[in-house]
Amino acid sequence: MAQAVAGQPANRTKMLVFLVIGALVSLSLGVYGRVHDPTGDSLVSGFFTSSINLKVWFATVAFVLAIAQVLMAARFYGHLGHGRGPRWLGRAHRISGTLAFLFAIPVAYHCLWSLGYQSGQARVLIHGTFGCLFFGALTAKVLIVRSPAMPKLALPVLGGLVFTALTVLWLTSAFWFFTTVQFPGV
Amino acid sequence: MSRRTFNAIVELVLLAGAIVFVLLLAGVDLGLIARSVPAG
Repeated sequence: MAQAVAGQPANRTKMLVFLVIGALVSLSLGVYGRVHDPTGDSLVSGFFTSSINLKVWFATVAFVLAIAQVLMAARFYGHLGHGRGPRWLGRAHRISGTLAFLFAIPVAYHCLWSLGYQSGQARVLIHGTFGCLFFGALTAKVLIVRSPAMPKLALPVLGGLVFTALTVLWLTSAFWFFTTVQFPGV
Repeated sequence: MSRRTFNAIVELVLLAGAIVFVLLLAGVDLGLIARSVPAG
């Protein structure tokens, strides 16, 4: 879990390195999405009728897991309810986070490879930008969470940024799809 | 399972996910992985 070790000076240089790595991840995805010619092709759709249906439901699962993540973090950091919750909460937090990431990968892959980074519509531009931001912030958060002596605010700020980015991503994709195209749309 | 083992597994899964993601992006573009599904 997060380490802001009491009495140990915060390692700001290390944090800065992690933030730069996260920024490079965001930038790389954005550049790839921009310079790569969108294929317009579908990927596997599995149980679903098409790739887009798979994507909106995978994104929804990732978003629900992210909500659970925030609630669990709030609980074991003592901001929700009394005490810090059961001991298994930390592991549940990490497992749900890993699962959310795994669900997000095929979605992001299809977005980048098939659609690319587009700026024609506000919704699409916001979605693409927050998609890049999400993976960069997630990278920095994962690096920081396992490193000792990080500034105390680093983890909540980055965790909040990851969750905010995923929320915007879900609103501009799955929520938009459910409310304007079809629901449940499997 | 010890905490250390658990964390190592989580980190391996995250790393594997990231590697697969990058390999897919690069692999399909470079023609290393076939596009098996038609447009639709």
